[in-house]
Amino acid sequence: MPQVIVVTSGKGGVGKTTTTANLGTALAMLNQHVVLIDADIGLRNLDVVLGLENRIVYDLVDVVEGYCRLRQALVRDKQFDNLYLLPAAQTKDKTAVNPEQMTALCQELRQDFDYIMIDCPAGIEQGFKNAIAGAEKAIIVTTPEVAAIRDADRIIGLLEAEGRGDPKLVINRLRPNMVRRGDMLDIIDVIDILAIDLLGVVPEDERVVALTNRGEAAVLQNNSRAGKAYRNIALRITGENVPLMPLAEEEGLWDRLRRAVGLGRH
Amino acid sequence: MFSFLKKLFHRPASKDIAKERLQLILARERVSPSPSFLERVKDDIIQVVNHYLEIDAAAAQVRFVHQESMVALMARIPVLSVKPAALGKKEESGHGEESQLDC
Ligand SMILES: Nc1ncnc2c1ncn2[C@@H]1O[C@H](COP(=O)(O)OP(=O)(O)OP(=O)(O)O)[C@@H](O)[C@H]1O
Ligand SMILES: [Mg+2]
Repeated sequence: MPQVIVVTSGKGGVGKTTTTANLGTALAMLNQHVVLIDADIGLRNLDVVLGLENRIVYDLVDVVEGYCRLRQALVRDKQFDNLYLLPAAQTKDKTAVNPEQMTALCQELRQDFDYIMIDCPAGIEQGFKNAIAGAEKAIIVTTPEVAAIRDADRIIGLLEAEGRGDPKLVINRLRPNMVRRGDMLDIIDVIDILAIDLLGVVPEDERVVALTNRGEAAVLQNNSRAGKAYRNIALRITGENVPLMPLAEEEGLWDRLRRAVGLGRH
Repeated sequence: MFSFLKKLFHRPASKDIAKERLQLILARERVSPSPSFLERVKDDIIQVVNHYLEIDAAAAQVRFVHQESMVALMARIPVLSVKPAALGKKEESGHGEESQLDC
């Protein structure tokens, strides 16, 4: 059964595009047929994160307007021939597409793919409504911060009102050191507050930025902790039961010393 | 060093403050649905009250009010008169006054 999953957050910049790119790549590594839709019309991003910006010919709006066939607009990944991108239009705005058209598009893609993942724009306006229209599942991305969590809660409420309940949570950019100091909400706090199921936790990882510079997904790197976290989430999406990985990096000497003299919190 | 330690133990962790703030914010926002939702609530309340009282439906207002740790639904419905038929055996209440219902 194909699944259409929207990746959304409310607040901007919390990691929707990073999450979509990495989960899509990780699912492709698991031999699934995956298409990623960039629904952020006017602010296309997913193409550069995947390193596919030079291969784009047509885009989502071209398809919807009947300017080209869906097949022609799909951009194949550099590495996986079972991973495709449907790019957003860059010169149009969000009103160029409506929810009915998005629903029809997702319906068509179901025939050829196992997973259709939609990278949602920030906000709760037309772009959000388009992005959720064709999806029956939702992943909410948040960081462990007050503003992001508040917006996530709003999105959860809106999804419920649209009859798309039961979204799953990804907590991104968690910093174990700050959590240990009591300066960042921990996993339990966030779940307590939002009261939805946890799909995974992705630690803050400098390599995400460095890899994104190259247009490479973190899941392809064995030494990236964020990559490992995303690979685990992809496995959970396919129905496997994978426990949360230990989040803290190997502790440094300084941390151990501080804890030894009782300055740390644990 | 000592005062630093003292501070460390007396100040609540910033994440606890964040959690508390979030819980308050969300308690409020989760019951602040769309205006159309409140319109529906208002229409239903008016319908019920209408059985008993002659009211000025056009001037009725329904909204949420936030008190310290509680959210209340406040309905302000101008009452014109009590409907004689509805009085039955119950005792009379004030005529022609404006009254507030806390629901
Ligand atoms: N786990 C992580 N560790 C380090 N950096 C991260 C992590 N996740 C995301 N980032 C960085 O955060 C920035 C924002 O990420 P991203 O573009 O995925 O967010 P977004 O939610 O899609 O933003 P927008 O709302 O603008 O679409 C990027 O620079 C990205 O590289
Ligand atoms: Mg994005």
